[in-house]
Parts: sequence; structure tokens; C-alpha cells
Amino acid sequence: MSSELLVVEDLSVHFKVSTGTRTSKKVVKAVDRVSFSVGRGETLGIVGESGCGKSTTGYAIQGLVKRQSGNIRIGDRELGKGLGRDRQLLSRRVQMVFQDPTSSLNAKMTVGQILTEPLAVHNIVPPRERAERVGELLEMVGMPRSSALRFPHEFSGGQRQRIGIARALAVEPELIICDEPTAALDVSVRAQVLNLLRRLQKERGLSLIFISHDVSAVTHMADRIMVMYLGRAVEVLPRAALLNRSAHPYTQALLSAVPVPDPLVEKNRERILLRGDVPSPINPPSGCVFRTRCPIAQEICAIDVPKQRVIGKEAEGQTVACHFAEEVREGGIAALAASSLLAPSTMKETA
Amino acid sequence: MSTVTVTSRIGLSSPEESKAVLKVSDLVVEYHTARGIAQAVNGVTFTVHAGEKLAIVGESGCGKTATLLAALRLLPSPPSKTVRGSVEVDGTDLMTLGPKALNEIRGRDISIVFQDALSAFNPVLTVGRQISEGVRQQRKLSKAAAHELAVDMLARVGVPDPDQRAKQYPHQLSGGMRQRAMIAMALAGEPKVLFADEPTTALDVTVQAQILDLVRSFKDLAIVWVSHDLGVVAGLADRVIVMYSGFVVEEGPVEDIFHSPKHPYTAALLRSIPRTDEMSGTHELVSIPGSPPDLVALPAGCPFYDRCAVRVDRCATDRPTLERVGDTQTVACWVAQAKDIAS
Ligand SMILES: Nc1ncnc2c1ncn2[C@@H]1O[C@H](COP(=O)(O)OP(=O)(O)OP(=O)(O)O)[C@@H](O)[C@H]1O
Ligand SMILES: Nc1ncnc2c1ncn2[C@@H]1O[C@H](COP(=O)(O)OP(=O)(O)OP(=O)(O)O)[C@@H](O)[C@H]1O
Ligand code: SF4
Ligand SMILES: [Mg+2]
Ligand SMILES: [Mg+2]
Repeated sequence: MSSELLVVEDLSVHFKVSTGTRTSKKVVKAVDRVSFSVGRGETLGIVGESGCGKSTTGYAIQGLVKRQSGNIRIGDRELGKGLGRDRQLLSRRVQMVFQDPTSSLNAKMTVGQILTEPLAVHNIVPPRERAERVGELLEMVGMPRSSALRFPHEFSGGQRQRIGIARALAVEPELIICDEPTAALDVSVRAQVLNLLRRLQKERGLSLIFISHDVSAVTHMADRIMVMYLGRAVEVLPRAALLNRSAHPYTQALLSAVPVPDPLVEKNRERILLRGDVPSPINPPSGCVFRTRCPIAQEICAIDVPKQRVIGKEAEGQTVACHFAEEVREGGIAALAASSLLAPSTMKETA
Repeated sequence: MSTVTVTSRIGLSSPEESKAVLKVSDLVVEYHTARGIAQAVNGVTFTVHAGEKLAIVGESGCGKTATLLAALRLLPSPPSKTVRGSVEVDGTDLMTLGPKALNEIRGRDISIVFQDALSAFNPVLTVGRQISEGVRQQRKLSKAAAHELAVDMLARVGVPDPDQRAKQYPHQLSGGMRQRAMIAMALAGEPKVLFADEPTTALDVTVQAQILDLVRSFKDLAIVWVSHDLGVVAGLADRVIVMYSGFVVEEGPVEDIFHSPKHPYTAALLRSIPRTDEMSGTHELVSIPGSPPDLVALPAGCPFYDRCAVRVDRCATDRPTLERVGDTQTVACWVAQAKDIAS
């Protein structure tokens, strides 16, 4: 599809880690055969619990970690596999906004200098127009022009995050990857940054990848959502499908676990509780990585790795990696677990 | 079966008659800093009834932790100073107790769990040992009986293989399991009141859901649960206190606080959070401009004045006191109080 800005196919990123006691090295499949795409002007949310591979996915797109396998295409450019390949192209077309606005801004530079740097490096505007451009960038993120003369520490966390966003905007990128951009911010300030990102995205037709473990923030921001678990993209689906057409047991359980700020909703909702914690990524379960916590896991789940496949009509843009995706989408995980059709098998007890 | 009777409060029976088990009155805490005196807790007052779940919500730095720790006299002094206030547990004021009596009451009548379980445990003692040591002193049990009780407690909070887990060290447990073990330790002495300082904030959301489910099952235990997460509060609390820069600005039953917030801060806070149900993505989030006041130089009037969308002149000069607004809520806001009288 020509409207896709970013296409990621079968992406894997592995890390070698030492397991402590011996010198033996183990491999962590931080990202394992993940495929997704981001359309022009679209926001893709990546959500999942700690360590599931969200940040690594973002780094891989930026060429900051080495790919084990997989292809990444931006527009019609295929990105090289090596570390740091295509740096110039990437830093012009793709920008990142990080969690901690304090450490990602150089404390010794004024905000004006911070924003001028990318303009100069990429020669975006001629030198005499740069000061004016800095002012425009600040206004874009709702900061007074006079901020250019001040230093990062003179601003609050939310303001610093807006400066980080202005810096990302400076090179006029096509895609911005935001990795937990509001995690360090207080509740009342979080909304400023979320609103700003949404507005910029609409006004400028930007593509966004919004990475967060905060399911509510992701569902608020994203047109489509990729749910990750232990390095796998267990499901990719349009936001509209999240509430009642999700097809992966983990997606349904995750959504059910997110508290809703409404006591009446909370009182009456059906909850799907998963057992235990996420298993160690060093020693992931065989077959489906989710099976040790899945309420409907069957024998086949321990044997066959479910592939990420299209469910429903191709155009709906939903992919899922579960052997029983059709049943899950149709019946809902809570009902299935209670029925005899997909009653819990004994497999998972032994994991 | 254990020979010791393990806490009946963790059973499933209904809440007792509404007897006040905890009364905190006019608690004032300050920190002495290089910049001056930071007024962290400014006259916090609340009552908790048997079996009641009270949530304290508010943003980072509003004094939630300081309130809990000061009430248990666990705040290090200096730099902090608990200037005044009383904390009555079943009629006994903790503020007047000597160290020995204070120690006895903590754990037995009132205990606390934290966000970071690892720091609550001693890293070089097994989990079972730590739970049994505490309870042995409180309840004068034999070593064997205390150990049995510890294992029993671990089982009750849903730790699988409690026998095995009791022999492990804190760092050997997963995050969720460690949090359960800390809750087991806090409840082993059968306290009437449990303080909880964001015990699920560091957990993954599916693990948080398990812990919340466990806590909801403690029907007869009075809990003061501190959180900045309004979703968690909505699912757990009977009553809610909203704090802002060390002041209680609103209090009321959970449904009323969420469905008809009276204080401008509470109302704005509720509209600033995205949600996942059918409301998701439909509303523009409200952002509250500015930031809370410096605790070293609190304004003379309402602490929310700078950021308030409905302020009037009086708010700049007179500090609003907590007054009843409507049938069930108390609110510290001149405008909300005036509206109530007018209606
Ligand atoms: N440089 C590295 N070396 C070894 N392992 C790594 C490295 N970076 C990440 N990992 C591992 O890869 C997995 C995925 O990590 P990643 O940071 O992508 O997760 P995440 O979803 O962003 O988590 P979080 O929500 O905690 O930020 C984790 O198990 C992590 O420990
Ligand atoms: N050791 C200290 N010295 C000086 N000020 C302190 C100290 N500890 C806490 N404070 C101040 O006291 C106020 C209340 O802190 P407290 O930890 O109770 O906040 P909180 O509501 O628990 O916040 P959070 O949600 O971040 O945990 C804060 O504004 C903080 O800056
Ligand atoms: S007292 Fe005034 S400033 Fe304070 S919240 Fe009420 S209206 Fe706003
Ligand atoms: Mg991350
Ligand atoms: Mg705190």
C-alpha cells in the first residue's frame, strides 16, 4: 500500500546476556518476528508490560540496535541492516521523544541553542532565519518565544517534554517515535503533552508511534494498536476493534486489568485475572509465549508457535498470533474459559 | 490445619457496624530545608471506620506519603517535624505513646505496605523468617507456630507453594509475589487498619489487577490506600480524600467524588485522564495549566488559586476551609461553597 510510511516485516532483535553464575551467554529475543506498518498521518500505539520489547522496537527502527532479521522500509527506502546505517536519512525523517525530558536535553545549552542545533546540522533553514524558526517551533508546542533564552532546568517537567517535542519537530520529520513520553509527568500535566501530540499530528499530518505501558494513554492516542508480550506482537488492531473485536486472550486480559476511573463501571465489570507474572525472557515458554498465563491454553499452544496472521478482512488491518483467535474474537475469553469448548488444559500448570 | 487462628479479618464476612477504628486529627508536618520550611501536610483530618476503604489521591508531592508516615510516627526527624495532630487507633493516641508501646501497636493494630517491597524486607533473611519474627513478638507464639502462621499467611495472599516460598529470600520472588509477601507480613499481626502507599504502582497492570482483587477480598479490614491512579481508587475505595499541596481539598463517598466532584481541582483532574472504556479517545483531555505552589512559600489564599478556572477575588486572600457541600461531600473552595448555599 502506497499510503504506508513505515513497513516493518518480520523484525527480530536478539541480545546476548550473561546469566550471572557462569560465563555462559543466553539469548534474549527482545523482539521476535514482529510485523507492522504505520500509515502517513497515522498514530500506531505500542503497548505491553515491562520488558515486552516496545523500546527495542523503536530503537530498531532508528537503527540504534542491530537487527537479527527483518526488513524496515521508510517510504520507498529499504533500510540497511548494520548499526548506524542510513543515519543521515533516519535522523532527517524519523525523530524520537524520550521518557525523561531532563536527561534528554543538554543542561548546558539554552533552549534556543538546543532547537537551533538540528536546524543547523540538517541545514533546514538558512542561518539568518534560524532564530525566527526557533520562535515558531516554541509557539507550535505552546511555549512563549522568550523561552529560547532560558535553560532546561528553569522549566517544569511538562514544559521540558514540550521542548523535547519541539526539538523533534525541528527537522520536519515524517515520523516521530515517542517512547513513554508522559511516564515521568504528573497526571494533570500529562494531558498537556498528550493533547499537544494529538494536535501536531492532525495539523501536520505526522505519523506517530506512541509507545507506552499505559493502556489508557495508548487507546486515547492511537488509530491502531500493537499489543506486545515477551517480544511478540500478539495482536495489531484498530482502536475501534479494541473494545469488542480483539482476538487475542492477552489483549482482552490486558484491557480488563486496566482500572477505569469510574466507580460504577468498576463495580460491575467482568474481570479476567491472569495467573502469575510474565515469565523470564531468558527462558520463554515453548510454543505460544503467553500460554503459561493464558486462560484457554490447549496442548497445541505448548508445541506450535502461533504465527502473526491476518484475521477478518485484510483491509480491517487486524493481525493476531493465537491458535484460537477466531473463537476468542467471537466468544470472548471469559466465556470461553468457562465453557467446555476451550476449558483450561492441564498444560500450563507444568510451565 | 494451623493451631493458631489466623486473622478473621481476612475472611469474607460483611463489614462490622460502622465503628471508627482510626481518627487522624489536624495533622501538620513540615520539612526543614535549606530553602526554608516546607509545609508538607497542613491540618489533615480523617476518620476510618471498621472495614472501610479510604483512598487518598493527589499528585506527586501533595503529601500523601508524609501523611501516612507521620501518622505512624515513621518520618525521620530531622528533616521532618510533626508539628501537631493526634492519631487515635481504637481510642489510643499514637502521638502520646512511648517507643515500646508504639512498637507494639504497629503491626498488631495498624501496619503499612509500600510501593517498593524490596526495601521493606531485610535482604538477608528469608521471607518466612521475617513474617514469623514479627508475629512471634506480637502474639507470643512458639517458633514453630509462628512459622506455620507465616506459611499460612503466604497461602492466604495467594502465593503459590507457600512452604517453598517461605524459605526463599526477597530478591528471589517476582515483583507481584514480593508484593503479596509484604501484604502477608503486614497482615500477620491481624491489624485493624492497613496503610498502603501505592503498593501496586510499580507492578505491571495484569499483576496489579491480581493484587487489587486480593485487597478487595479483605472485607473487614480498614484500609487507607494512597494512590495517584484514579482508576485504582475508583475500583477500591468506599470514600476518597483529595489532597493538594498538603491540604485536604475534598472528601466524600467514591461515587460522589467521581460523578459530581465539587472542587475545581478534583473536577479538572478527572477530566485530565484518558480512559479505556467506550469513552476512550472521545473527549479532549483537560489540562491544568501551571504547577502546584512551592511548599516553602504557600500563598495566603487558596493553594489552587494560580491554576483555578473559576477563582474569585476572595480566593487570593482567604484560605478556604473544609465545609460540607451537598449531602455527602466536604470541600475547601469558596466558589463551591457559595454555589451550594445559592442552590
Ligand atoms: N541492551 C540490552 N542488552 C540485553 N538485554 C536487553 C537490552 N535491551 C533490552 N534488553 C531486554 O530486552 C527485552 C525488551 O526490552 P525493552 O526495553 O524493549 O522492553 P520495553 O517493552 O520497552 O519495557 P519497559 O516497559 O520496561 O520500558 C527485555 O527483556 C530487556 O531486558
Ligand atoms: N526529606 C525531605 N526534605 C524536604 N522536603 C521533603 C522531604 N521529603 C518530602 N518532602 C516534601 O514534602 C512534600 C510531600 O511529600 P510526599 O512524599 O508526602 O508526597 P507524595 O504525595 O507522597 O508524592 P508522591 O506521589 O510523589 O509519592 C513534597 O512536596 C516533598 O517535596
Ligand atoms: S477556592 Fe477559589 S481558587 Fe481555590 S479552587 Fe475554589 S475557586 Fe479555585
Ligand atoms: Mg521501554
Ligand atoms: Mg508518596
